[in-house]
Amino acid sequence: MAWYRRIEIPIILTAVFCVIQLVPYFVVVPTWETYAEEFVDWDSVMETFALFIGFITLMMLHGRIVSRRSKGWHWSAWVLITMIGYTIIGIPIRSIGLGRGTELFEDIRMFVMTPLSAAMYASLGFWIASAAYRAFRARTLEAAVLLVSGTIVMLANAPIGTSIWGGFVPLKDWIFDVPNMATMRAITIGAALGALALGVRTLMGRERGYLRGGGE
Amino acid sequence: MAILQEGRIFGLLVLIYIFAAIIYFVNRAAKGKVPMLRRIPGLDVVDEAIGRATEMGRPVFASHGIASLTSSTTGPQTIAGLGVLGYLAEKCAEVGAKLNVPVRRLTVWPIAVEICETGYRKAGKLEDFDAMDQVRFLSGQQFGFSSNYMGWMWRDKAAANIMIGAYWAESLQLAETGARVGALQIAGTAQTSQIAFFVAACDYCLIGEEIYSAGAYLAKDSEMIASLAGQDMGKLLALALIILGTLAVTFGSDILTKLLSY
Repeated sequence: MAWYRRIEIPIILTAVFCVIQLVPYFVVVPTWETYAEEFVDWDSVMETFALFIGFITLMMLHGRIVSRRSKGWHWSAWVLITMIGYTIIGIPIRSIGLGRGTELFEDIRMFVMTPLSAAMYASLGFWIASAAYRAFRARTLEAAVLLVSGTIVMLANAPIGTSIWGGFVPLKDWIFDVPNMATMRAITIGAALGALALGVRTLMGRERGYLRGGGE
Repeated sequence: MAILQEGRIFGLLVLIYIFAAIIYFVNRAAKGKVPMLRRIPGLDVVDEAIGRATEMGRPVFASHGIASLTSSTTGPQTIAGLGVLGYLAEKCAEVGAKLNVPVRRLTVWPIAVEICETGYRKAGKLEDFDAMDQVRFLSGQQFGFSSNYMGWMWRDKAAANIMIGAYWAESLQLAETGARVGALQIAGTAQTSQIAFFVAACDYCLIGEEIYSAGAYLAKDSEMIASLAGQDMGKLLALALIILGTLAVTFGSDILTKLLSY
């Protein structure tokens, strides 16, 4: 195997950059802090370079789907048209009205991308309705508890609930402040410790799943 | 002039304590004393989900979330998801189930490709792996990614959908689509606001810290399992601090609050 493909190299790099970030968090070393911040900026540079990878992979994948006339190929054709079109519109040639910040570029962002994202986010309401139907079928004790507590919370939030009985609001507050809060804190503490331990394992080179699945 | 950052000394001590505990348990495992790992039902059915996909002739979808690797809070979740991906790739290759991996982060895409490639190579089925078709960068936009993912699951009629990583608003869209196509779903996240959605819409759910142990659990690596015991020592410390803190506050003392902010 070529030396640059040895698994020890990314492990060493990970450990070195972990230490560079970790030390100034706990120890006062002004110069070191500057370097640590500099390395964080490298991430933005890498993300920018990665854009080219994204462009090429999308071109290759959807180009292949279109050329083979695979199922749904016309959607892939649409992806290629919009991607290439928006890339051309984003080329900074102000004299002919192209580039970021120009009217055409911003109009597409404002009147196409933003409403599409908003529509997708808004559709969550329907997904929640169907998930609630599935979750609220009291087949088990846990589901029954969820059904009862969910109904109390909904009734406390809806005007009709409080007009039926004023006790729904303090009951909802209790659900949020006691069992819900305790569970959330337990999950948060556990997750934080899990992340910390994973960080330590990564720093020690024990966690190798993200490096070629741990294999050579 | 202070050498240590004010307010972070206690955190540093906790970090050193967990570090030492992990090293202790890893060394203990090297001598053959591997701690017992409790069963995690969501991970026990992974092989069953892959087997089901093989029988049905439909693909397994494996997602590692939408977070980047570099975020200090959500990056570890992506690492946990990628840890599971290696196992899934190898198992899918062994039994001949197709593995589809939707990717949102461009910097993660080459890593996911390499992990899958290694899995297929380990299974001796490298010729079955088509990186371009199976590991797809869908979109950098959150909802562009989710709509692509949903469409892909819908068109290919996913038999299993395994999602382990950081998810936000798209979690329910993905889980509900998986449920509608009849996929066996295993999902896990440490995002507290999304766990409820996964519990409601998926067959099995890994809650919080369970995702970080998933890689060790599936790989059955004794050293990694041992490191989880080190993590549990951190939990014991947290428990002790909670009890001491409750007692201290009850008796009107703020000594622990001062200690934690030291």
